[in-house]
Amino acid sequence: MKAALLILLAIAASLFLAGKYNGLVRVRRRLITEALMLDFLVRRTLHLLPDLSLDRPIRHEIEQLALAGSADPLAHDGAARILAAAERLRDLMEASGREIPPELSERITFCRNVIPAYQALPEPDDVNVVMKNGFPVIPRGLKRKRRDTVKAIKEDRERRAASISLNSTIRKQQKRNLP
Amino acid sequence: MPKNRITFQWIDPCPGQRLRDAQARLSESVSGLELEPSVFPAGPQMVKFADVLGFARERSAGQSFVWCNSDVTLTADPFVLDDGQTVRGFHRREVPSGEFCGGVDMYLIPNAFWDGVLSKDLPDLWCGATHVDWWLTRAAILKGRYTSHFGFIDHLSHPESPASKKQADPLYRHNIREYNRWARRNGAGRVEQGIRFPGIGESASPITDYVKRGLLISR
Repeated sequence: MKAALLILLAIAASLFLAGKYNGLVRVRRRLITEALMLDFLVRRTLHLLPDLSLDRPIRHEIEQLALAGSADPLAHDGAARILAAAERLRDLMEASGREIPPELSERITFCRNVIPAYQALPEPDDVNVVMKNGFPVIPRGLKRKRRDTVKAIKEDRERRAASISLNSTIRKQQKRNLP
Repeated sequence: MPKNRITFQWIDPCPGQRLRDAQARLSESVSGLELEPSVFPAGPQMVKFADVLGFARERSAGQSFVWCNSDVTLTADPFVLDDGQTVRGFHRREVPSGEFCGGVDMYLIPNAFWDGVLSKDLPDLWCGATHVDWWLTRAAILKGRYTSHFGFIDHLSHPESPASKKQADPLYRHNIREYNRWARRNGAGRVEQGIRFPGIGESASPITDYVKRGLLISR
């Protein structure tokens, strides 16, 4: 009798957990879909408005920001990057008196409401600079710890080394492919 | 000077009139732009995406090569964008609606990027089934060498094939599994799957497929 009860309990618990998991997947999937659609809308809008008064570097920056986020909307602030690109584009369109496509606004609203549950969205705030011992200081942010600077330099060096190695491989291949 | 080549699958014997016409239209549009069609011979069976791309790379006449789906029409020469560095994805325009599609149906891939990056870790994807563009696009984005374009290919709208959208389709499930394995290895976003077992659906696990096959046989 006890064993039967335990089995029933285990089945009920499994079903409950499976339901919870499916619910979680549903929400995460919706976020991925909406974020990827937002990325697509940003790039499509940039294409459809070639006369939008954005100089080329800004267009490229917005596109690359949206694309970078689309590699993984659930990680590395991916969806937040897409949202940042979309909001930047919307602001630029508003500033130049353009009509914002409704599907763009709707998805921006959705992502703005849902993303904070998954990813930290940096809140825009004014930088407060104060003078300390005759030097300008920003009295905010995390306290620097020992070896932070070394770590940052190392990471930057590794990133640059990887990029240089890829570039040299590509140059070698290009030379090889020359007729 | 050899002409630049556009590679696509040439399905013969072709099971449907729609695809037969589409292939012929694509071939005409490629020749019309002073490019050379480079056809990957295929039968009605599906082929692996990596094989098609490898075939395109072997026949590359310049510093990059182009692959496209067999049912699009070329409206402009993609090689004008070739810089030998960046992978370029092309979104198709639906005809007659004029809507742009979120998926990518043509890629321009620098030979060097294929040799140095893509060919080193190829997922085992079926060409023509789902998510092949997820892999290629993300592989290039992760290296910071991707950009997308609109207005180079048109596509006559038609009902979607089960391999591209139906979750119960074995080809669909295979591609999702393979894409997810690649994504896990490379730190890209995975396709989210639930575990809804009772109807034997949702989960893309091979065990689910095995159980499903067993159920079908027992019926």
